[in-house]
Amino acid sequence: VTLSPYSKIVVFILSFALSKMAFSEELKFYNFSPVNQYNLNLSASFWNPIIKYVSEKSGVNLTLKLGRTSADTTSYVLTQEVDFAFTNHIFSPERVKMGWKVFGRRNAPPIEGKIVVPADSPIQNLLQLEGQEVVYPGPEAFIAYKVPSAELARQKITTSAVFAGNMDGAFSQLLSGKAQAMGVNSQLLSGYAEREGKSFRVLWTSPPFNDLALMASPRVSAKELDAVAKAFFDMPQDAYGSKILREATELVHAEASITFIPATEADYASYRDFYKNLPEYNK
Amino acid sequence: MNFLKSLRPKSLTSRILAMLSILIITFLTAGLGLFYRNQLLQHIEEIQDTASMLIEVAAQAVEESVVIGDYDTIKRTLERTLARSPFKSALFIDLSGGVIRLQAPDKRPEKAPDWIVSEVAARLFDVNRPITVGGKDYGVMRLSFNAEKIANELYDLVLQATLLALFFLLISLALMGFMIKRSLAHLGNLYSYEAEIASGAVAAEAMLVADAPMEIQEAIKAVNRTAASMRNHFGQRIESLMNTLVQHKNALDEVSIVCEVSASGRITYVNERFVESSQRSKAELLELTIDQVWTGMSSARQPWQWAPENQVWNGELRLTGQTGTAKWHQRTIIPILDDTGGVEKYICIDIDITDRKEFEVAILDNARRQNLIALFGQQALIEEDVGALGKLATLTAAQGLELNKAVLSVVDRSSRRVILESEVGMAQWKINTSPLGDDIISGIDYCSDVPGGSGKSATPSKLLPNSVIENDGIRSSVEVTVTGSEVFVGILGVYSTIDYPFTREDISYVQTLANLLAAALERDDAKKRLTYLAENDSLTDLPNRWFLNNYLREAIQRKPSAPEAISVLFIDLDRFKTVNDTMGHSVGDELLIQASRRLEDCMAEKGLVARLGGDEFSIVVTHRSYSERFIKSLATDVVDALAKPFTLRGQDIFVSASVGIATYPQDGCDAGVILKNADTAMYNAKKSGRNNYQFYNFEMNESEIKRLHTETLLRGALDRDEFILHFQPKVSLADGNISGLEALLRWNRPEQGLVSPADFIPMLEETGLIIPVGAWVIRKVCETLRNWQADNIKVVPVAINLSARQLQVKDLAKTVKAILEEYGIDPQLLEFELTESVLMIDPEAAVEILRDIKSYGIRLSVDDFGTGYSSLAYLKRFPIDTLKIDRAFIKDIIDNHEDAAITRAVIVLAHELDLTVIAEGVETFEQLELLIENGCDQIQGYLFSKPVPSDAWAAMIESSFSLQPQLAEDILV
Repeated sequence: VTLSPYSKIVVFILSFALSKMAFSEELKFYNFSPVNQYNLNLSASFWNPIIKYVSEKSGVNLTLKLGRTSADTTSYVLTQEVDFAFTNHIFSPERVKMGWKVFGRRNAPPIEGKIVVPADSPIQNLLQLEGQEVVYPGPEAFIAYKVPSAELARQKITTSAVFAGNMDGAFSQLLSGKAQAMGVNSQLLSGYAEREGKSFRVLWTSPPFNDLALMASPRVSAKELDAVAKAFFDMPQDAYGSKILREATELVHAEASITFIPATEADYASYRDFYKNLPEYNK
Repeated sequence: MNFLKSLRPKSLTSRILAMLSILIITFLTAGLGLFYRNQLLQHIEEIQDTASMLIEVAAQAVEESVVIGDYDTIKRTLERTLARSPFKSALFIDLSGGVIRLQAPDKRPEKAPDWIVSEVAARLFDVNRPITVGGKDYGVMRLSFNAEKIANELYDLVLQATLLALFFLLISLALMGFMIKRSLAHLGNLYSYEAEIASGAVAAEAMLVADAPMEIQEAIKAVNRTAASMRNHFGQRIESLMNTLVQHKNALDEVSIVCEVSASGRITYVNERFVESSQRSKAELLELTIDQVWTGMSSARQPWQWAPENQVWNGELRLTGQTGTAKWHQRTIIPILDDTGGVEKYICIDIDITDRKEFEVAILDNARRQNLIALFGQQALIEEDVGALGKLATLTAAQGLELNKAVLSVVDRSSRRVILESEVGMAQWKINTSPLGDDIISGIDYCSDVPGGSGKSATPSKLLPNSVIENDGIRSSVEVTVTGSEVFVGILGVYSTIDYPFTREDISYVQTLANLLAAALERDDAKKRLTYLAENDSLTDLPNRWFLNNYLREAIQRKPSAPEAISVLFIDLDRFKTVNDTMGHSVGDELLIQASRRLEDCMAEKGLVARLGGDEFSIVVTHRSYSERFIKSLATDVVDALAKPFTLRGQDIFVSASVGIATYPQDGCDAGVILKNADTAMYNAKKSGRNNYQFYNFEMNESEIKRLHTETLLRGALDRDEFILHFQPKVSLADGNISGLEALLRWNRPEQGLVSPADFIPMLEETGLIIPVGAWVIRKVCETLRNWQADNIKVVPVAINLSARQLQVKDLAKTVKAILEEYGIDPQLLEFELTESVLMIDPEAAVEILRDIKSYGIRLSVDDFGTGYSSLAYLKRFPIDTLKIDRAFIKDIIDNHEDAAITRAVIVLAHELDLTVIAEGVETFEQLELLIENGCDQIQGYLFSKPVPSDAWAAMIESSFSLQPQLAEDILV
């Protein structure tokens, strides 16, 4: 079969266009969505330099896709709008099936879930929370919501859950008296208490959990993942990377220098254990 | 910057309001900005919170529906969620890939600006909610905000808030403006205070209002204090000023003539000096206008005119008052203006400047005269024509005095002849006098003693006759003398037809001109004299050599009327030198004057007699056609005329003349050559025995050349040792023995042999060589005598001739003595012979020298006795030992009884005076015999021996040569 000259031109143009498409696929962008642990501006200031650095170092184009709440981050994961995430929201049995893979975490001690009231609150124990409003950052918050609310449910203490959207909002509602108690992770609690000069009374503390994990979707190739992971982990060794980390540490008033270290699914076994022991209705 | 400044409000109220407005607007803008930002953030926060709540509510419904797969309910839930919500869209994304999307209707038109929309959009995040039931994820619910809608709501809020703020701003500004104006209104009191002050209420004070702001009250108080202080200060100043003004007015009245004139020109006030100056009464003056008081002239011809005007008038005026006396005033008329700018009155200030003006006129007049004098002086220095200078002097005299009549007359003092005469403006001009000169000279005293004095005289001028005075209407005059030397005198007069008051300055001016003129006349006279002296001989008044040269040159060059021939007679007086030497220069001068007159008498009309110098004269004769006969006749006349005796000092003196004649063009084409050739011819005439004339011929020049050659050789002869001495013996008639020798100079030229003494002795005299040669002779004689003595040859006294030139050498005696001593010669062996004329050149000096010589023991004799002009008195004065009778007498002694008589007389005279007598030129025995008879002591001559060289003489001595044998032979026979 011989093609007419016109058809040849069409084929040539198409082949050219397709080659361009193939070329653009090689330059594909991955969205990185961390769970917003602070407020939007602070989170953006924290992550943007790091993502930019990692992109440049790894050669894998990453863009920050920030959500207001952990629900946003989780939603992006679920709708596959992102391929890298800094989250601990996808360790539930259902979500593990999505095939996301842990490759790193912050070099920080494990955190605990805590139920706190303001230091001047008359509430002294969990039982006194019966019928009270407890504020959480969001329903997706694992350490701050799922772990504490599971404990309240386990102890059959009926409370009404209020979601503030993020941690700062939750602290605001607690301190304004809108809610009487708050579910919070130990790291953010100490950071907030130090930053804002507030003191709280801890009613309950969970077993330790490693904080958010650096995770990648199964769509990310192993090579890209390795490059990204190496860039994160080598930051302290690089002058520019360490500078970024130092500024990030100062920005969020972290107790210890923020660095990223390799992690595996084993580091997050406690999450699976949690889901395994979770009452059915609360899963 | 200027534009910005122009925008700045002018009034205080406006400025405060503007300032407050800027302040309020700044704060309001900042406040509103912050408010809007806060509203924006808060609104968005609320919306976001609301959205969280809404999605939470909706999620519960969706969760219930998704479990059972009721997607319609999910859709409705999403619809409800969208209704009246700030969302633009609501999505449910199923994990299996399905999407339920609901879009809110776009109802409201966009009105918010894009930037607000983008600001809102940037702050709103989609709200996501995983739909998880029982640990299972079913999907994600997502609500997207309608940013435009939210922005519109916010924009509405902004607009409303802004309008409200503006409304309140305007209200506030209006209120503030009112308050400020009200406060500042109290300053208005100051305006009314100013008006009061302006209306003359200088003691007024600005009113204080109790409710006025404190600062304004303080300001008004300060103004009142300042006004009081100024009132006090200016009061004192005004008082002081008034005092000063009064003093100034008094001072003005002292020095100025002041009056006030109404606007219409009538005098309304006069000061005392005005009354005094106008010589009118004050009452009378107040009836007049200012130009009725005096008649004024702005310039010589322009009457003063002044009309009332509102400009200051200033100028100098010549005023004539009631009495007719003129005065000069410096006048200033100052208009005094009223409030409307119209003239209220005039103040007229006059200062009497009469003295200054007169002085100025005098200075100007003097300057003008000095200028005229300077101009005349310049002319006097350069003008050759004295007539023109006289005319100029007359004119300048009249101009300087600004009169139109002047006369000048100058006469020669000795001849009374008018030498300069001039007049200006005279109708009928005639000099007064006859003879004029006497009258002028007699008028000199009158002129110099009475300055301008003739004005009142019945005859106002010594220079002008009465008829002229009457005809020209002359009433006054000034006349000065023009005098400066003994040569001339004159009068320069200036005349007026009115009674002109001539001043000393006028006379001085005219006299200065007269003096300048006199100086110029003197210079002219001196120049003429110098010219005359340059061209003429002052002794004889004949033209001199310079004039003759010019005359001759001009005559030769004169064309086309050049004469055919010009003859020059060169005349030299023979023996003039002798007359001059023996009788003195004054006699010589007299001789020259008489000779001049005789030459002039010989001269025909067309010729010139000139004195060339000394005793040389010349006659130049021009010929239309050359006539040798005429010239010969003239030359003969000249020789004859000068051969006649001249009577000088009562004596008849004989001189003759030698005349040389050369003629142009045959004897030369040049004046100098002709004169020289005439001179040469004259020299030949002299050589030809004098007292004759000779025409020039070519050979004469050759002879002259030869003479010059000889003279040149002669000058070196002494050095070349070409002179020798010959000796001629003198014989004593008492015993026939040789009594002495006369040394005679001979020139032995190597090629020509001996030269005649007549050919070179005069040359030695002329050239002065006679002095060294004479000394050589003395030395040579001494040397010869010493040699003879050494050779044991008998020595006798040797006589040496002394020339006049030698006798003029003062230390001759010393020289002679030194030579004698050098050679060790007895002075008795030396004798000097001098002619009478030599002795008489300077007898006093000669006596002195000869006495010195005589004192050494040297003998002296007078040579050529009887031929000179001396008196016998010198025989007593000079220390003479011997007289030598001239050979002229001896020569004819036998035949001529006069010569014999003279010879006898001389012998007798000499013996009477104890002098020895020697006869020269004895050549015959007859002569010898006669001389012996007459008692002559010695003889000298060829009879015995001619002059011989010293060797020959030595031989003669050796042979005991004497006259004795001859005497024995002849006389005794």
